[in-house]
Amino acid sequence: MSQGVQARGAFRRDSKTEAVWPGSAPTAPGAGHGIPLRTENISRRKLVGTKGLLQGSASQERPTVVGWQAGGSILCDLRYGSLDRLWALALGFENPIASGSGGSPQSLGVSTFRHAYEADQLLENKASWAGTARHVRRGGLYVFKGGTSHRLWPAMVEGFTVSITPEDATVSFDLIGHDLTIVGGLDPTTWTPPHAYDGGGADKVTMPQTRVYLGVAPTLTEYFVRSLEITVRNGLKADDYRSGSLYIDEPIRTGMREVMMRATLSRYTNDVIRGHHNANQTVACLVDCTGGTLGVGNARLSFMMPAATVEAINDPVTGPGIITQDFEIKTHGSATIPTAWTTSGGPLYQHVLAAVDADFYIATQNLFASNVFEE
Amino acid sequence: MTQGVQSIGAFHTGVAWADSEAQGFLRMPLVEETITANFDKYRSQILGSASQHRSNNGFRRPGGTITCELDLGYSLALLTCAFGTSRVTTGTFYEMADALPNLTFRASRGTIVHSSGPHKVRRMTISQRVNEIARIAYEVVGRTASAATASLSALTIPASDPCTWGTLRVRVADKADALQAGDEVDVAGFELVLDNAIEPIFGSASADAVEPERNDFRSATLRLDLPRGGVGSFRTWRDANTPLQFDIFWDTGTASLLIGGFTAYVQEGGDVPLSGPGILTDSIVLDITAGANTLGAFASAGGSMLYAYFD
Repeated sequence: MSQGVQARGAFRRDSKTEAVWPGSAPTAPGAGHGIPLRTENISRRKLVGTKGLLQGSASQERPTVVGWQAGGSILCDLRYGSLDRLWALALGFENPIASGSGGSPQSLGVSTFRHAYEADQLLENKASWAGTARHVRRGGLYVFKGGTSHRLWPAMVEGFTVSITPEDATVSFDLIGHDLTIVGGLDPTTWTPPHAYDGGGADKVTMPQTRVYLGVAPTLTEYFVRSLEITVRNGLKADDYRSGSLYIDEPIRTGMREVMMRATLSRYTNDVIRGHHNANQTVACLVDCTGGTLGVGNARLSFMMPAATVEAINDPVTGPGIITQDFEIKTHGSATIPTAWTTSGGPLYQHVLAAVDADFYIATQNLFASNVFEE
Repeated sequence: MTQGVQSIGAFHTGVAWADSEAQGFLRMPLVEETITANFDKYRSQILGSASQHRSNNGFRRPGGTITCELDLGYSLALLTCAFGTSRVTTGTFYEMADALPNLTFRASRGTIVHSSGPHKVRRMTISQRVNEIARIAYEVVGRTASAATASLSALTIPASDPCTWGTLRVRVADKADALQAGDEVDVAGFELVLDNAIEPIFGSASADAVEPERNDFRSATLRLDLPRGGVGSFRTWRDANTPLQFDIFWDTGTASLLIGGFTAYVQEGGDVPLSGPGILTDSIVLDITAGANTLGAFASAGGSMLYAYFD
């Protein structure tokens, strides 16, 4: 079975007590760990040292392996309920205080849960259990292909790109791993997702289900877009080699996180966003996707940028057709969140948020019952 | 109404750099435009947070490209902004001057009117291909841009008189022989580019550019796409580095426009590349330099690289 149609993907977070890098072999994925994989580009690259510098022969020497570089990207369907672990590891934090006390997830009853993921300051892995500082942000990515299971482990999420167009909705995660190996004895048929892939029904995000709000808080205006792209880059260092090892050390952040969104308005009708750009105003932006009925309420996936500036705006006239407007926003740290996001009906309702100066939040409402950092 | 069909382009020329809202706008045969006025953004680098800091507005860089059809029914004062000066006798004669006048541009995008300017023309491109109307594109750099409320819909629409393919004639000849009948070159398209080497200049205490200056020599090139290889004597002229004279001429029957140069050299082409069993074509690039004008009443010893005559 060497067909792509047979391929499957899964992701499982490492043990919450894992303290060293790379640590001990992880538990195999199983039910609830499936991810909506479309394609992948994960590789194990060999780094070799210099060769052929000695005199006495015109031939090159045998290459010496000096390092391995494991990582790449996976392209997934943008789904409401199958990506929580990757969202959580990309942002770094989900407040794990007891459910019902403002922690995440909030149980809504009828097997429905509401999660809040916060962009944390740092992304290093700590097995500390003091207070809410549970920070094991690594896991194993499993891809079953050609009859064998490939495992990128331990892997951290360097960033992702969410793309929503009229025809499609995807998310591409970039992962940095310690090593990519073939693992035997796994049963990929058990890699079911937390939220069943139901043929494009309640779980699949589409543009008609997506609403975009932007403005100076607390007043956000809905804009109709024809496409949008959200990009998050954590700035993890992927080539942090050290003496005594062929593998990289635990990736840590080498710069500030970058979060930006590019969107194209369906029609250019006013200069409000241009005004935000010219005055360099701090704006807030919410991309709110609402799916089909799910237990209590609807499936929901919300991307929140509480503070951002409009970096560029263009509305070219390219002919007799409809004039559109492109704009790009980039977030910055903020201690303030628009009240509409935290009050009833808001994506962060009833959550106690712990991040300092977070520049990005993701909220989900689905069937996934666990706090990613506690499960 | 957010459709391009509602868009109207207009311009006026001026001398004072701050002159962005003067009257006397003329309608232009606008095809498309990409004028923006984005600020450079820069961020604080203070440590202590893993999140980005809020960005700051830096210099504002209005500019982009305005593309029009070359239409002799509309005012050709646009050429002044690229060339530098004009002289009026029986028609209008344009030649190049060091100083460039300013171009202020207004466009309605749907129902929203934007004013942008003053600008300097950094690059002018006039081009045409088989069965197309000639186009003139101005890449501009400027000072400010703002939303204006004045509607452009009252501007008069001139009777269109487009420079169609059938009205085009191109001549190239040895400069020593002067241009004459029989020097016509059969082309499948051409592109004339004038690069004014204009760069925006910013100082402290203002987000807006001061009057841009020329940062290099002007340069100009003419690319001629020959429908069949081996036409003319371009290889001979190239090998001998012969100074050439050329002109591009449209005569619509009601008006005419001639654009030419007095000294040009074959820079590229002439070898007729073989690319298969089909018709052999060639693309010639002329490097245009300054030359004295010997056009009778318009004669000038100045160093104009290009000239234009509109009648």
